[in-house]
Amino acid sequence: MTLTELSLYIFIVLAACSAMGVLFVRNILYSALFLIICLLCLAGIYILLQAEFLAVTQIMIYAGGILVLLIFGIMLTLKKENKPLEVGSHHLFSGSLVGLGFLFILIYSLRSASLNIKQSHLAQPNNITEIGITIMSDYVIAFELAGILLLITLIGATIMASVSKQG
Amino acid sequence: MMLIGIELMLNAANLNLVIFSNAESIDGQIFALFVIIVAVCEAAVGMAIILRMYHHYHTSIPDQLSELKEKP
Repeated sequence: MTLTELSLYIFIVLAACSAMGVLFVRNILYSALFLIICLLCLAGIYILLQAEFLAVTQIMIYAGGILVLLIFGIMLTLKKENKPLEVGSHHLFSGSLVGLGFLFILIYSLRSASLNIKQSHLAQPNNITEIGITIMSDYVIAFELAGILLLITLIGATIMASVSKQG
Repeated sequence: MMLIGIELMLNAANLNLVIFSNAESIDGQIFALFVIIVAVCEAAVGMAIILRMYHHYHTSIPDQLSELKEKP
């Protein structure tokens, strides 16, 4: 077992454990902190899978942006008689039933799929150039649409979150 | 709490995309990038909705918003 495989398994186990911690911890702030650990482990997995650009994007946007926004929102809406907001897991039976069904679907499609993992991207040290060329050539319409979506989201979130005087 | 669950599920989907497209092409990585972009939009709008909801009802738990529910 090489060092890459060992660190890959460590990251996978750590990500799975912190995902379980997100679901089963009682305090919602702790579950947000577990989510940070899970996202950083996923970024490590992306690096080991030769997806460095995605890993950096994951760290910057998720761990830097979305989690700060989540903790910000949690702390703004937390005050309720000065005790921490406790959340529980409802619908445990039906949720686990749906999860197990989805797991079986995934295993079935995995067994029927022809999986040939070859190390094609291992030859080049990074594929950021390839990602950039592909985005700006094949996926340029989706790229522009993503820009428009971000603009609309910015305007909409600002309007909704700002306190309006009229009503 | 719902937003945290959504982020977790989107990350799982991203991981699947990256792993299963790792063999031939980088299309999965680009798709995962777009998933991240849409997740950012969703998180921002969701947080704005939660802030407005807290402003109105002074609670952030969706189970307590039972104004339209039929009273027994």
